[in-house]
Formats: sequence, structure tokens, C-alpha cells
Amino acid sequence: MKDHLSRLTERTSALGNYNRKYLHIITKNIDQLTEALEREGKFDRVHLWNYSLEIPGEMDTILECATDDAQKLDFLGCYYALQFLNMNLRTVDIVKLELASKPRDWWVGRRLMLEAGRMFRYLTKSYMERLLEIFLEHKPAPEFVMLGVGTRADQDDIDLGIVHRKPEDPEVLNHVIGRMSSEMFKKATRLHFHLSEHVGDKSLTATMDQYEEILYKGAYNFVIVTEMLGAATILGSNDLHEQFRQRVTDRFYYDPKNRANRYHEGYLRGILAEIRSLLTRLKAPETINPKDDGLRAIKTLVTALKLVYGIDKVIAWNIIDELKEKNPERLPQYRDLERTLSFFELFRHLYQIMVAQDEDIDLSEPGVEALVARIALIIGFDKKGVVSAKDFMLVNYYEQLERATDAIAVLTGDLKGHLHSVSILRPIFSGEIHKKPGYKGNLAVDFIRASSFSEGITYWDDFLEQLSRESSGFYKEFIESCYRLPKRMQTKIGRVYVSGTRYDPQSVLRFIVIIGERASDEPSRKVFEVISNLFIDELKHLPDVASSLAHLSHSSPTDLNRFLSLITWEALTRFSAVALDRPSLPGLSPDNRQLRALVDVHHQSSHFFKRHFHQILNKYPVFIKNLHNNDRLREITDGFYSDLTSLPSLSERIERLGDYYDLEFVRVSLLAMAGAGCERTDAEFTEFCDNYTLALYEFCLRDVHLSLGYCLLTYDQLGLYATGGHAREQGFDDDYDLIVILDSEDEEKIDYCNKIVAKMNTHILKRGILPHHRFADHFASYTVSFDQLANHISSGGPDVFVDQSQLLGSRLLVGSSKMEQKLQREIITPCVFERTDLYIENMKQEMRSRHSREEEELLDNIKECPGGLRDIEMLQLMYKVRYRIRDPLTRRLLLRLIEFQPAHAEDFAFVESHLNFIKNLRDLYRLKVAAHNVINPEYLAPVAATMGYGDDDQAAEKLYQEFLKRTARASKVIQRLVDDISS
Amino acid sequence: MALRYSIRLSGAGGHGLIQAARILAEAAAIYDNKNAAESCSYGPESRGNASRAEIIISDEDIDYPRGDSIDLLVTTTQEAYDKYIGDLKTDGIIITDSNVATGATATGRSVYLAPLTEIAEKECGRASLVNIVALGFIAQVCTIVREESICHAILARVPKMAEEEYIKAFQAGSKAAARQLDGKTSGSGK
Repeated sequence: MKDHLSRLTERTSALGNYNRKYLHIITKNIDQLTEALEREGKFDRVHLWNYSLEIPGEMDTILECATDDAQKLDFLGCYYALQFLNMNLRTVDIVKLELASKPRDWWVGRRLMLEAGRMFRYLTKSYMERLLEIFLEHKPAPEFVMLGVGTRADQDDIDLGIVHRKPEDPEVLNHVIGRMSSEMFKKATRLHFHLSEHVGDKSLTATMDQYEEILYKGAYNFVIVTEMLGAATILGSNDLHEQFRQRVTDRFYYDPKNRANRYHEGYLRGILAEIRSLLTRLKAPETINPKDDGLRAIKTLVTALKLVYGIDKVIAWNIIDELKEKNPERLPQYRDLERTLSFFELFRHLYQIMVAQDEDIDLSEPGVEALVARIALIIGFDKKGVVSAKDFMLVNYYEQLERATDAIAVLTGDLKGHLHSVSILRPIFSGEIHKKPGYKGNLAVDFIRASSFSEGITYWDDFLEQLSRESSGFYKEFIESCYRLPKRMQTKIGRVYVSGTRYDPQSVLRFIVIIGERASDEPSRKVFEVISNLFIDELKHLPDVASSLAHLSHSSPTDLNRFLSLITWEALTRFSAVALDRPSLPGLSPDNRQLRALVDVHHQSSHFFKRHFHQILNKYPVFIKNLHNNDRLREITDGFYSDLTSLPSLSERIERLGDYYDLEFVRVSLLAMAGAGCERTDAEFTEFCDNYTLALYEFCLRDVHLSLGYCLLTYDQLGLYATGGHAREQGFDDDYDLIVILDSEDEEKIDYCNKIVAKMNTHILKRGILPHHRFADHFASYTVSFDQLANHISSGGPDVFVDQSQLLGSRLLVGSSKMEQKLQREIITPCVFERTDLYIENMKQEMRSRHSREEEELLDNIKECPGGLRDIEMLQLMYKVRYRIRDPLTRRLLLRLIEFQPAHAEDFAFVESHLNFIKNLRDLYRLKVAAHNVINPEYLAPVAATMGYGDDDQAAEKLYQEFLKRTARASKVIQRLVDDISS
Repeated sequence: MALRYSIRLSGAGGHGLIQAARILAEAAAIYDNKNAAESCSYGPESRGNASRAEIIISDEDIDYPRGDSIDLLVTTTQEAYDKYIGDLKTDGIIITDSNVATGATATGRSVYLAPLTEIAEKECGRASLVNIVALGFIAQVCTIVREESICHAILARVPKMAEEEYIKAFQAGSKAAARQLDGKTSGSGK
């Protein structure tokens, strides 16, 4: 038969490694303890190997058997360790038993957790009482009370606050409590003196006066107050605890008889901001954390509510019980909180005793998943079909979390309502103060004075609401009051307004964005500028600015985007420098990348790009969150496109289609700005643009049909062609060249088509692109009949070769191949291909004429310069006609021409690579600098960086020289190819 | 003379520095039979931002678990370094991540620039093990707590089945420190 220790060791192996510490202590002392108990004949009076119901008495028996204080401590430690392990093993057994008969009954979970807390407190209290006695060495104890301020069942540490009566006592107490702390650290559970770090002077204990002093000075925060409000006596004077309540914590309760509940209000503001920050915090993808995911928010909310309803309980479940009675209207929400609280606490407790005492449960860590699966089985989750017990439990975890989050939203809404109704700031918000005749104060200063409650308070929703309300005049008054202040005072007050950045940059950012978005005159713009600059200064001085900005980017992407759109170029440059910092925590990297992508977009993009960007991003924050992940953006926009037809109304479909265009424009632009190269971006641009046009045509056709009540068209009669850059499959043009051909002379049909095209134009214009109909001026109609077009193209007028070129370069977007074949057969072949020499001669003449212009600017014009885009386009057109090719004027055509002119293979290959070079240069210039064809060498730096010329001072010049060199060479090559075209 | 050694670990919240401090304190108190006290910062300012943990190891009673001047400062961020370097004794030891600039403020102290995060990521496969790598480094540089005791304390804090991974991380930190110590012995690196 195994001995007791072996059996205990074996049973303990089912618990987490943390319990090894206790086995270590037991192994070291058990023989001496057993021997001493047997020697004194008291062995059967003590439960060493089972959980005891008479711990204090058994501890006393053990102490009676020890020969000196050192042995007393060893024996007590050993007994504590034994009872600690017995307690944890018992807890697991009870959970298994209870939840085997009532699986997933969270009311059982509640009972079990209350019992776990009671058992642990019983054990620790008994142990601490005896340690105190030993360390006091029979001297009388000064009057003090040791308050437990944390969760009772938490075994990782015991959070304490200690209060003593007489100012001269701390030396003795510190010595005794310090020794107790060391002893418990070695053999039992560590003590954590959180309050002592804030109260008193280098002491583990403080007097009531010292506690009151920090409250009076405002040198406290809501975390300390929450702990004080949850205090329960462990050891010492109950009378002192009662006085502590009266003098220190009672002031945080709401008192309807009081006109000003200043402490109550300050605490609620702290808690409301804390709950918001907990619910919006960043979560690691592979990790769950019951405390931060839900428990902390539930418990702080419940503590805040107990102050509103005058409840003096300290355990969350007991507070909820009273809340249910006092506020029955919210019974469903309290039940949801209770349910989640019970499940999360039980799961967390079991994880801590069976796996590890970490709050973060990283499911990717070796073995953790299997251990979590074990817990899932213990608390009653079975495998269901293909779903494992663990997955089933995790699904339940998130369901419970969602339910609690909904309940928290309702209850914090109530709490906000209560706060707003009792706030001491009401007279300021209502204008009672500053609208009073003869008011000589300053609103911005008055608000600061009235709202200085304590540290770390960032809930100012009521203030922000007032600021953003159009009708109240509060904004105007606030701005004027700031603007009126002398410059130094303005900075000083501004600093106070942004000082909350350290605790909750979200609210400060919101405040600044409201100021900026409503700024319409010089004072408001000036105030915005001052405050936004102070905000950036404040960010720079944060202890870990990269982490704070990553959180901000995660929780407030829209506000951040708005802020970056509103600030001056100088401020944007300063912000960009701050945002360069990398977070030290790898988990924040995705949000840091998101932030840097957003900043880059603002800092290094042209108005041409921003026009689309601003239009769409505030509407879809999910896009801002994925700016750094183009694949994800693509998934989102693909989803948009696929989902169009599921929208109920035509107007919604058209609006969503426009959003699709804008989002895709932004996505492909980002791809270009990241250096993807024009071959890829042109292809992707053309794809979404074609998708857009096709769907827009369908929706506008339907719209005309519905508005007129009839449909006239047959699909085969219409051809909608892209021409210009879009036909050449080039992205990022300003305009959208279209040709609409109808194979009918029927006026009614032409009119019908014009109505469709007119609607399309309206929507295309909303995208900031000019629809340009090549033949509209000539025929006074968007839609041209096939015969009219044939007559015009065959007319041989002086400039008809320009229209012939348009037609030659066109690409069918909507319509059937029948129309395309007819166009080829009846117009292009007879009117262009069979007049090759004339066409080529006209083109050569046009090219010569353009090159002969002696404008200096022409050399920097990517499109029009010799060797520029226009020359390449004309070269392709001439060869198309020469070899009767109908292909679009793309880079693929240049490569195909090598087959026809192998002798010029090298020249065509060079032109193709040159096309890519100048196209990249043009796209990046348009997206990063300005939508001009004439490049300014001074502004080429961001383009040069993307094109691989580095980011030093010479990069821009290097790129510019390369551009001049290449275009000069291209001009010669093109000229040679043009000269040889007829041979 | 009585031993009283003070260590401060500081960096960004979530680095597991508080866990590392606890492990070190437990190693000293439980497995090395010294007295140890540990304290750490919580509060609104520690929510996701800078964190600090402090350990005092002594062979006498410890009345108050925080000290004014520290013997060993371990930092993983520039902010933490700048904030706490003034509290380090003039002959104290600094262990800091390689990306932290120490400059003139470190004069007179023993400085160890350790690529802790990089080791955790590249050699151990998980950045979250940086605290255990740091413990390995500390164990070599400051021999106040026995390596074996730290290993015991680490194992007592980690989930079963992850033990090997943690010990590997500890050893990686320890080896990195040994390399630097060799360099210092031969006259470089300090």
C-alpha cells in the first residue's frame, strides 16, 4: 500500500505545477511534524491527509507540539500546504460530482465558487492569525485591521489593505507584517499590499488620516477605490473597519440628500471609462482571458451599481442578489451577469488550480489545449458529434461573453443616465453658469476646475455630447472661452484637456475630433490647432507610446482617420514621427502596422487619392483596420460585389456599387503605393472598373425600366465601349472615356439608351471621375447609331484619324460579340485597316507636330514628352493598323509585335519595359504627390522610395535623371520603329 | 554583512515581467531558503502600458518590499530604462534589450545588452517567452539565486507539457549571458 505522501503526490499530479511548491514544503517537514504529533499523542486530533473542518483548532494543536518558533513556523507551513492541496483536490472532486449530475448548471458554479472562496479564506485567516501571534512575540498587538480587498478564491495572491489606529504604530506592524509576508511567500500564498503603494509613506499600513488625505488631495484612482469598496475583514479590529467605512469608503455612495456627490461622480467616471476600455481592448487571437474578457468589467460595474443602490455587500454574487431586488426592471441583465460571472469564475479557478496561475490562457502553448479540454469535460461539456468538448465549451464561453456584454451595455447606459442626472457639472452643461447675465468667468477654465475629481478619469461622454450638439451653443462658448485666454494660459489649459491621453487616449481623441470637425472660423481652427499639437506632445511623452497608439488604432480607427485628415501638414509630420515607434509587445504588431499604414496614407498621398479615401473610409472602419493587409481588403471588396444583388432596393445596390468602386480604388492604390508594380495594379484596376461598369449598366437599365414602366432594348443592339486609358487597361486616370453604339436608328431607342447613360454618368461622377463620351459633341447624343458612326469614320475629314484612333483603341465592356464583329467588319476594316498608309501618315504628322513644340515643360510631361505615354500609344496604334490587330493597346501588344517584327525585338522589349517604368512613375506620382502629368523633381522623394531608389537626399534626383535618360532613349527607339513601319 | 539585494524588472505590460519577478522571488524564498519579497505596479497606468516589478532578496527580515536603490535593473523598453536608471546603484548591473540606448547614464555600471525578444522569437519560437529568456540571462549575470532553484520555480509556474519549452527558453537566455560574460572577461562588451 502506498504511504500518504505518495498518494497525495500522485493525486496532486492531476493539479497544475504550481502545487509542487506545497509538496516541496510538505516533503521537507512532514516527518518531523508526524513525529512531534505522535510524541505528544495528538496525531489523531489532526487531519493531515484529508480536508479539515476544524482548521484553527488543529493549527493550535500542531503549535502545541513544536519546540520553538522556527519549528512552529515549519509545522504551520506544512499543515497549511497539506490543507491547501486537500482543499484543491476536494474542489475538483466536488465540481466533478456536482456538474456530473447537473451539467453546465451555472447556479451550481456560483455555489462552488462561493464555497471555494470561503474555504480559502478560512484556511488563510487561520494561518495568518497564528503567524501574527508568533511574530508579535507575545507583545500586545497595536490596534489595526487587515482587510482582504481582492477576490476571495484567488490563490495566486491575497490582496490586502491594512489600517492602523495610532500614528506611532507602523514600525511594529511593518516588522510583523513584513515577516508574515515573507513566511507566507515561502510556504503559503503571497500577500500583495497594493493599497500601501498608494497610501502612507513606505509602509505596509496606514492610518485613517492618511487614507483621508489621499482622497482629499485627489491622489487616488478608481482601481484603489474599487479595492477599498470590496474590503472585508480578515484579521483585527472590526471597529476600525467600521470607522474606515464611515470615514473613507461611504463617501463614494450616492446620497440623494447631498447636492454634490463629488466622490461618487468621480468614481463612476473612472469606472465607466474602465469598462469601455476593457470591452474594446485588444485580444490576442489564440488567447482567452476570463478576467480581462469579462470578469473585470462585470465586477467593476457591479461595484459601481452598489454605490448607486446603497448596497454594502462585497462579494459580487451577493451584490447582484440585492440589485435584483432593488432594481427588478433589469432582472434579465443581472441574471446574464450572474451566469457569466459564475461560469467564468469557475473556469478560471479550475484553470488556475489545474493548469497554471496565469490570466492569459494561450491555447497555442504546448499542452494547454489538452488541459483546457480536460476542464471542459469536468465542468460538464461532452463531445457533440464532430464538436469536441473543448470547442463546445469555448463556443459557450463566447456566447456567455456576448450575453454579458449586452447586459453591461444596458446597465452602463443606466449608470450614465444616473451620472448625468446627479453630475455636479450639470449647471455648466445647461448654461446655467455661463449664460447668467454678468458672468465673467471662462467656460473652458470653469469646466477644468469643476471636473478635477481624481487620477485616471476619462469618461467625459456628457461633455463630448454637449460639445457636439449643434443647438446648444456650448461648442461656440467653449471655443470662444479658449480663444480668449492669453497664449500661455491657452497652452496650460489645453494641456489639462489632453492629460487624459495617458489613461484613455480614445476620449481625448474624440474630443479633439469634435473640436476639429466643427471648426468653421478662425478661433475654432486655432483652438483645434493648439489642442491637437498638445495631444501629439502628450503622446510623445507616454511611457509606451507605440502600445498606446496600437490600442488607439484598434479601438478608434475612424476617429484616428478623421484626426489625421483634420490636422495641419506640420502636425501630421510630427504625428508620423511618433507613430514610427514599434511596440515592444509582439501581439500589438498588427495594430501597429495598421496605424503606420493609415499614417502613411495621410502623410504620403495626394489629394487625388485622398478624395476617394476620405469619401469611403469613415463609412467602413473595417477598411481602415486592414489598410496594411491588401489580401484581406480584397476579400472585403469581393464580398461587397457578390453581395450587391442581395440588397433589397435598387438605390441601395447602386450606392453599395459606388462604395465598391471607391473601396477598390483605395485598395489598388494602396497596392501601388506599396510598390506592387503597374502590371499587377493595372490588371486589378481594370478588373474592378469593368465589374463596376457592367453592374452599373445593369442597375441603370433597370432604373430606367422602372421609371418609364417599359423596356425597349435588346441586348444585342448595344455596345458600350471603353476607350482611352481604361481601354488600354491602365489604372488611375482622371476621366472615363466611353463610346456607346446602338445598332438602330430608332429615335425612341436612342433616347432610351441616353437615359441609361445619363444615369450612369451621374453615378460615375460621384466617384470623382469625369465620364467623357467621345462622340457626344459631334452627334449631340451620348448614344451614336451604328450607321452614323460608320458615315463619320469613313468621311475622311481632316481630324477623323483621331476618332479612328479612339475606335481602334476601344474595348467592349457591355454588349455581344455580334456587335464587336460588325464594328470590325463594317467600320474598322474598311475605314482604317484598308487605309493604312493614310492613317499612319496622319499619325506620324501628329507626332512630329507635338515633338516640334518647344516648351520646356514638355520634357517633364510623362504623357506628352518625346518617349512618353502618348508616343507609345501612337506607336501601338500605327502597328495595329499596319498588321490589322484588334488587341487593346496594352503592354501585351508590344510583346506581340515582336512576332511581326523580329528584327525589332530588342526595341519593342525596351519600349515595353519603358512603358512599365513611366507608368509606375506616373501612378505613384498621381497617388503620392499630385494628379499631374508634369512631374516636379522636387516632390519625387516618396515616389523614388517606392520605386527602389532609396530614401536618402539623392533618391529623387536619381529617379528624375533616370526618367530623363530613359525617355530620351525611348524617343529614339520609338522614332526608329515609326520610321521603319512601312518597310 | 547581511545580504539585501534589490532587482527591478520593467518594460511594457504583458511582457510577463511580473511573472518573471514572481518566479525569481519564489526561487529565492522557496528553493534557496532566503527571504524574498516582491511587489508590482497595477492601476490605470499599467493597463497595457509600462509595468514594473520589484524583488528584494535578503537573508534577514524584509519590512517593506520596495527599495530606493536597486542592484540589478532589467528593462525591455527605452522608456523604462530612462525612468529607472536613476534608481540603480553606481556599481549596479543593467540588463537591457539590445534596442535600448544606454548612453552616458550607464557609466560605471555593468551593462549587458541582450537581444531578449529576438532570442525568444527566433530560438524559442514564441515572443511571449521573453520573460523566461530574461530569467536565464539574470541567472548567469547575477548569481544571487541558484540556477537550479530558478528552474524549479519556473516549472512550478508553467502548464504541464510546456515544461520543456520553458526550460529551453531559460537555457537560451543563460547561454546568451554566458557568451557576453566571456566577452567581458576577455575585455570587451562592457
